[in-house]
Amino acid sequence: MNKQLLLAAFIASATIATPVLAKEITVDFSLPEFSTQDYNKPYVAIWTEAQGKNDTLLLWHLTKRDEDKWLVDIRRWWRKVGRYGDLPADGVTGATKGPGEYSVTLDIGELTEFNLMIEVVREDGGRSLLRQKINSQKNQKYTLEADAEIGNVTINVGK
Amino acid sequence: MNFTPLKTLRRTALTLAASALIITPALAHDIYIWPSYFNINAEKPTHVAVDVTASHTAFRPDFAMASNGVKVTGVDGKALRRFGPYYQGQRRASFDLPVNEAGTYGLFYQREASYFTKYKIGKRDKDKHMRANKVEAAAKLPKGARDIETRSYATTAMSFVTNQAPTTEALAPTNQGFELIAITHPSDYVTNEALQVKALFNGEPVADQTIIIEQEGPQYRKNPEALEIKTNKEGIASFTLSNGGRYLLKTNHEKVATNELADFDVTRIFYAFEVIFE
Repeated sequence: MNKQLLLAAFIASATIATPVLAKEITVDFSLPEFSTQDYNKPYVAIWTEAQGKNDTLLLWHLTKRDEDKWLVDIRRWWRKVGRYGDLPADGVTGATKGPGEYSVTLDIGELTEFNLMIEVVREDGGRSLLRQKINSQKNQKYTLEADAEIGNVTINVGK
Repeated sequence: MNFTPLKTLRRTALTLAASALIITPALAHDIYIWPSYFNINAEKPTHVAVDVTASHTAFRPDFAMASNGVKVTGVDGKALRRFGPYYQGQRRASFDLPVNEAGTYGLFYQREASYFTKYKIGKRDKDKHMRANKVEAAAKLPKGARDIETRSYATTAMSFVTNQAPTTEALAPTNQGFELIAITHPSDYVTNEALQVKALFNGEPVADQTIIIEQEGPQYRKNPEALEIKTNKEGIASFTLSNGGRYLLKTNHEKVATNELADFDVTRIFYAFEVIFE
């Protein structure tokens, strides 16, 4: 082996040794059942809050009409992202969903350190707002406790 | 009111209460203007219902206010010329604000200065009021009137409606007279975050200005106590509210009058806003 080849091998190994930047996270959660007469499927928003930049990763709402005046009710999401009108691309938005288990894989782009926010709002029902600080440079699993409108949440980074 | 002889102390209290009631309703009451929705999402033109009232209780219409005091500022900061039909009933006045653009609209109710002269008369030093400026009062006051003081009262009620992303043009100060300026944008009032307003007189900060903040529905609470704060050297008052809901902020500014019509000029500001529970 000549020196140049050795050097190339060294550079290659160094590259491999740098932290892997996860570009996707997987969020597993459930929407609980409610035995109320006035049950409406909840609005769900998942977004990132990093310094000066917030991005929607998932938005389940009433997609039947062109505009949705009730988006304001996803209070924090609306204030931090929604009202600025950069409505997420297709694939991020979807129709509301009923009780059940969900697993979604979300694109976080180049983000390294950020807060992952989950807000669930149900008409004539309750509201839950969860927040998890995430460092995408490490493969890690985060578990969030269930709240009124959302079951236990598992967030997998880099897997 | 019936003044049956009572213990002196109690009579003093009654006299004070009575003198406060002599002032006409519009001046003895808080005046405010507020929208049914403070934050909306509308891409197509829509309307937001607005109420204008004078009342003792926050967000409870009691006296209908005339349309000529209503001023609406568009998202560009300029006055909106037309805002549709105006209903003025016995107890309430309202209109539907046309919202055609994204941004923040300003709702104002402005009342020009009206003058009141108070004086004492008789052996018992009875307090009297007269709806007259200093010049008019000098001609009308009865003989023996003493401790004469004339005040001018101007009122501004205000509130803001934001469609989609907030803008700041409608919040800009005019730098004329006494004003209260929203530093924290009204669409960003959320629970447990520091909120700031600024008191200005002719564009200069007003320090030590008392500001009272009352939540809607004091009649339903065990402790309806209002929050009382003061502005700092920069004219800024900071406060944090832990309850979501609607609030009425009040502040009265008094200074020595600059013309011969009054001894003191009073500006009353009433600011209705919403705090989002987050």
